[in-house]
Amino acid sequence: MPAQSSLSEECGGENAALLLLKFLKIRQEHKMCNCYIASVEIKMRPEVQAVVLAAGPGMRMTALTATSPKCLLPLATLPMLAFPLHLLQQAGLEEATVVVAAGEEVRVSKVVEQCGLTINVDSAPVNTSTDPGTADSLRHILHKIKRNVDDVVIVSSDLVTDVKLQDVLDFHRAHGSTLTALTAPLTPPQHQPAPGPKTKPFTSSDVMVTESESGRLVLVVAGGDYDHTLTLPSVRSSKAPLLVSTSLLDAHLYIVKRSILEQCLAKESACQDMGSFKAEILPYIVSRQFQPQNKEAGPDEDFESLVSQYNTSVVMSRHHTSASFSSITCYAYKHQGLCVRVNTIPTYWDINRRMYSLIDKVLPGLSEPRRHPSAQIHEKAQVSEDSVVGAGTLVSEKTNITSCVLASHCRVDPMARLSNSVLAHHTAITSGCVVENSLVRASLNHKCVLKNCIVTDSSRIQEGKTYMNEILEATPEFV
Amino acid sequence: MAPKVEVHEESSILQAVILTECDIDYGAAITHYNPKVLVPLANTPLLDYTLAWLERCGVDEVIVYCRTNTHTDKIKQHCKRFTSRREDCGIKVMVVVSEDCLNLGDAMRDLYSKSLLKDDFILLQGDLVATLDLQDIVAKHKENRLSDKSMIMTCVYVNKPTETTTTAAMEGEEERGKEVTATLVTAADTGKLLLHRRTRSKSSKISIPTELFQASSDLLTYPAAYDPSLAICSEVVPSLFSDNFDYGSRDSLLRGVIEQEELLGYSIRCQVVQDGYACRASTLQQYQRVSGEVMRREAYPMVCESSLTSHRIRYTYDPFTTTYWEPSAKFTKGNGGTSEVVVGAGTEVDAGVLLTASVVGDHCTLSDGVRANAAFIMNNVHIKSGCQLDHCYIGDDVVLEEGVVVSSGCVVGPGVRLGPHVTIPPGTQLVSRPPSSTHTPDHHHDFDETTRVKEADPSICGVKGKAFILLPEETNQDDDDDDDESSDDDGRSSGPDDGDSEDALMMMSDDEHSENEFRREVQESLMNGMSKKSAAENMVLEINASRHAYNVSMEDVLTTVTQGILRAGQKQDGGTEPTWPGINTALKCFVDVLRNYVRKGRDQLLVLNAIEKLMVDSPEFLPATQKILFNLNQTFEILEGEVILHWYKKGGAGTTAFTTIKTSIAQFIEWLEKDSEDEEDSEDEEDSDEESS
Repeated sequence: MPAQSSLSEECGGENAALLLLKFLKIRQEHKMCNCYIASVEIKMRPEVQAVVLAAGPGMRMTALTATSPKCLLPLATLPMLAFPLHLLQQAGLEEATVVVAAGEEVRVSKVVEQCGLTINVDSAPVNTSTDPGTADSLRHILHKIKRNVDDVVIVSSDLVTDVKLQDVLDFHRAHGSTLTALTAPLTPPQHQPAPGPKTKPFTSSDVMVTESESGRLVLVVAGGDYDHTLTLPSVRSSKAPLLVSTSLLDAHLYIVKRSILEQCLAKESACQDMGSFKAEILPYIVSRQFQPQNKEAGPDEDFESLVSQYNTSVVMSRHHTSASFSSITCYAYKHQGLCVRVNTIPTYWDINRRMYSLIDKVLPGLSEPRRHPSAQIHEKAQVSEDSVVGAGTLVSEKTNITSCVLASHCRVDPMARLSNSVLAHHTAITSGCVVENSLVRASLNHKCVLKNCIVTDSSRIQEGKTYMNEILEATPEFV
Repeated sequence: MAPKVEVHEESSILQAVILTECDIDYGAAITHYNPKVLVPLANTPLLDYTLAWLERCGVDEVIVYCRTNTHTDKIKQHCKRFTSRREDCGIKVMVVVSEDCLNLGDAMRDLYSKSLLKDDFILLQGDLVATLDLQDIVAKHKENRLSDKSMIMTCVYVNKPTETTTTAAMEGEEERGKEVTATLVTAADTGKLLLHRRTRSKSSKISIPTELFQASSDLLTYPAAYDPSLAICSEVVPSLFSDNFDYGSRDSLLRGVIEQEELLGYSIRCQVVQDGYACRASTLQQYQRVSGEVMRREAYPMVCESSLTSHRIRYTYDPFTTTYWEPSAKFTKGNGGTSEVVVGAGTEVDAGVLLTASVVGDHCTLSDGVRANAAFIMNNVHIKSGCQLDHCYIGDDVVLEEGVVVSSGCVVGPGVRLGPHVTIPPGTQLVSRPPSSTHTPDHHHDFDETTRVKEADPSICGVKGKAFILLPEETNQDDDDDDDESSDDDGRSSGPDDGDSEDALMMMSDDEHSENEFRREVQESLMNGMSKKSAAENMVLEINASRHAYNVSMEDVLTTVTQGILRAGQKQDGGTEPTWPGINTALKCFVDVLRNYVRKGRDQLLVLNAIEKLMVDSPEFLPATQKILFNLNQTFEILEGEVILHWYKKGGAGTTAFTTIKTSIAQFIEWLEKDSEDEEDSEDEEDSDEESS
């Protein structure tokens, strides 16, 4: 078990003893008492590098992403990207590489200071005109991955979870895992229906096959990639039952050994044509676990075998031993708490509505008040307790606001009535508007009634009209 | 909740049904003299293990189900002896005898008609040695029954996380493993069985139909769960068996219930148990394995030193060498590496004897220099010096003279004398009387077909010897539970009892048996249909009924029907020579029947192959081939010209008859080729696609 012979730096010296205890506990839990920690060396060297994939166009929520990149869509008052960044920061990471669509670098790097995060963000723009997949994005920033890190944390920008990344990292190291994927039970949205026209989105769910006790990943098939039958890899000596699950959410948070990632993303690799990390490279790595030793040994490995053969004085470091594909083991970390991917309008809507109660869980330590002190709420305005009011928002008198999210710098004029709705930044609601169960991303300059609507273009609103179950967006044809 | 369940249990008695005619037996050399369930394992009859376990688990009433044969009285007496030791409060054992019970299904139907089963009952085989917590399993079953009325049965499987049990490796262990394990797919939340498949080989890949995800989003898959043939059944199960006469084994019930879930509205659950011991001594290999495990005390509290009938301590136990011996035995323990040995009463074992992993019965003598490894020696056996025994079974009253070597896998039947100085080749079964004379009318083992040996052959059994080789044959075909398992279960045909000796023997597997039966039935239906001029739908119905009864695949049905029609034509003429007019009338008569089965291009190929195979068996059809094909192609439009051409170019089914067929249909092919020159290429590709898919 060479992978655990030293403790990670990112936890700092003062935490080392604590971490050691944690380690011992994990080992006990996983009955790995036969190995011991030879030495505790504290090196000022990052063991983990984080990559946030934030260049996604948000294809499943085009009504919202037409005007703003997906990773900057606000969840309550904070941009979506702040959540994964905060997750990484909580685990002690000091730096994160964020892959963003070209042209959004500046806005993205501002997120950190806006939200009071301390993590350093290194944004890496990719050209989104060719519609790059996640694997393409990773290839693009491959040179940014430092040679001396062990593991790479790949996280999608749309992840909202209350998992402790440190726990996942501990799990990853304790199991000597090559690839650890964060999974959680798939939960339907609590707040339904989402605004907009009624749609029944059909997405066939992913299939994840794990060993029921250890959580070892046996097979991963992305949704829709299977036919009438699913073939499990041949049974190994272990008789542990296999859990074939379609109700697990792949949270798109992976901890991958750098060496494997580099091998998979290298030009001559078998994965060179793969576009998606989740749907293609992940199944590939998982399936490699059960294949016989690879024949396509690269020149490096030949060299290594020569070294080990003729130079017995060389003791392989863990970086060497982990470089070969031979000992791939993939695990799924099963998180039982909150874990949501905000990649569709229903999930976006649901998370926004739940943010009032979730904010302490998903952003511990980042005290974003539910009612920002700079917000001006008129004393004659009725704002229900479970509403979130952002900075600089002005709520006038004789307004009624129940269970709403008002982002920063909104303006609600007198006599407006809002319920169960979400307002984006800088949204003004003119007096007399009635907004129910709607997502408003543009100012309502005319008196109107909105029910179950998504508004992204105010020019579509006409005075005194009632809109129901509609998406009021700027249609490209008219522009 | 808890008191309520108790009241429920008090009011009803817990029943168990033990089937003594197990699906596999030990071979005639043993079972002719002693029923399988009374064969002693570590000097205790197998049935006692089952009875003792059921008694400990609080079962009130046991029905020992057996067939009328020479052993019935033995079983009855044994059960009486077992219960007579106990007071009234003990377990009740009832022996139920049936005249014609061939498999588990028959037994269930019989018990249903006798209405002996009142409530939930435990169904098991008589060769099971187990220590599972039945009370817990039954309680869970009842709980599930309360919450889910459609659940009719709980199958119990054992999943051992580590493969410790196979350390006692022996020949044929791999093949054995196949039969007793099953691949299970269950719903993770309820434990409902969604897929049940016999495991073929250890390394095989498991394919799961994705439609199962509709039933449950999370599936728990057990790649190879050990199947102790144990089930908790509700009273619905016997009625289901009696409603469906084609259900022969438990496997067929499982298949039927799972496949027709919407129709029947029943479901089956699984309990995969991690703790406890359960293993069936189903074959001699398993017998050896279970014996070793019992000696190693894995089946605690059922250990060798305490008698299961009387619970008294009968043997002295030495934990250091794992040896057990009756105090009256003259047994020098520690005489050079003795380990895992059971020695019965009054037995004399000389100091120079090397015994390992063996069981010696009562009143035996083992002289100096005997070496025995994994030998199972029954009572009153005399083994003289210099004998070597390896992985074998020695029946009662056997005498082995000096220097006899019994190789692995041998069964020496009761009363056999061997030696001096003979070597018995591996896997031999020896009996004391010539096999033909052992035939008894009411016995299910049919010795008539066996090669008869009238006189004992000294080259086999030695000059002082008296033994006859019993050639294993398909003796247990009838009492085989999985009779209708057929089409996909070819693993089991390779050795019903003794494993390693069958190489030279032609054996008819279950598959072939049921296939032959099916062929016969179809032929009969066709003949009848032709004389009565039955409608095509009725014929199809009749054939499909036979198909379900024998569980024949669609492909075999098509082959059989094609050949049957042609043969019907032959017979209709009365003569032995098939003539074209006869065949033509048969074809005309059954064209709709055939059409019903021919749906895809692939089916057409099957028809062609069937015709070709018919020529192999009966070349007299050859002259008519061209006309048959022409009519099927042109008149009846069942076979497409492209398909015939494709088939022809690929070399048919590759049988020997193809060359002759080739010449006889050359004319027709030529004509066809001319007819479809332009389309040929594209069609060809399509066909091959279809064939491969």
